[in-house]
Amino acid sequence: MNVTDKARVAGRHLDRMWVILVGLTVVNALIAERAEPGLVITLVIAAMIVVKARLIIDHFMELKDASPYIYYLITAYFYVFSLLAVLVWLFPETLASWTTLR
Amino acid sequence: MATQTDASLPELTSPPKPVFDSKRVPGNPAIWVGIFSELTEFAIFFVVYFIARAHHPDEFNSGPLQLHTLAGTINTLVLITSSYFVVKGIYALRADQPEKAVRWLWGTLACGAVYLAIKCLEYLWNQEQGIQTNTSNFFAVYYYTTFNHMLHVFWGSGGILWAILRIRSGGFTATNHNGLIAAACYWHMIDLAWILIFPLMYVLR
Repeated sequence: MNVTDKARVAGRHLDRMWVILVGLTVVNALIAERAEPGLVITLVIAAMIVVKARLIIDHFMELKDASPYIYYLITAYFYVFSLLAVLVWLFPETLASWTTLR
Repeated sequence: MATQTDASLPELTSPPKPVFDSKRVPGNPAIWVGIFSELTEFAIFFVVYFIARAHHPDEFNSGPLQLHTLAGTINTLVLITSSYFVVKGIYALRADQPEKAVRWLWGTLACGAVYLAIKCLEYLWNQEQGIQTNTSNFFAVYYYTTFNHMLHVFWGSGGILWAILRIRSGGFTATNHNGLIAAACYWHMIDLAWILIFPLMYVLR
């Protein structure tokens, strides 16, 4: 494979990632406009945050073959906040009680 | 014209390989200190969002319905596209096509400008609807977070502009472009922050 072919393959891979990211964003917008709030919708939103972040981290930032400290730290960030979104949706009173000044 | 072989193309990547190189820091270590500092700042905003949401669930349930979802969606698409343009620019430079790389990066800058314009129009639209920073706790968090993010897009665009000038002056080449990688990683971080902000502010109820 010469330089042009290799660039073309890499370019097509990026194109696919961009199309997936656009598709996920449109689904997010449809949920915002039409879906009633609920646990399933919250789980779907949290999952989409992780998937979109992973697509950018793995394929656009090319961190998958970089230092594992950087890769795992930045990836964990999105797992943690997605999980928090679900937990806060499930247990808002608990968090409110933990963060109330007495 | 001679054809280059795989062996001579270590920098031109297809899908990334799942093999860690613990010494490979994309761009330079300093930019990662900056990126993780910025992500920490956004993390504080997200924690404030969660705490405020737990204390004022009604405001956070009704708040997203009052926002301009289309503006948020278009800005998400614009930022995703800008990230795509950045990496296309890097690929072009790796293939020793600096003019093409510059064109992709101008596309990124254009996306940044479109994002800023839409965000300003969204704020004006909010104002017309009577939405202010003190309308509710939801809108206070919304304005603090999104305005902060908007500032990052503004100065991130400056980094991309600097990379364009360096490519044009011959400072960044196919084999020496760590500064471009650093600017690109910072730009991707801005996109990543928005990937959390958009669902939290516009979608989640």
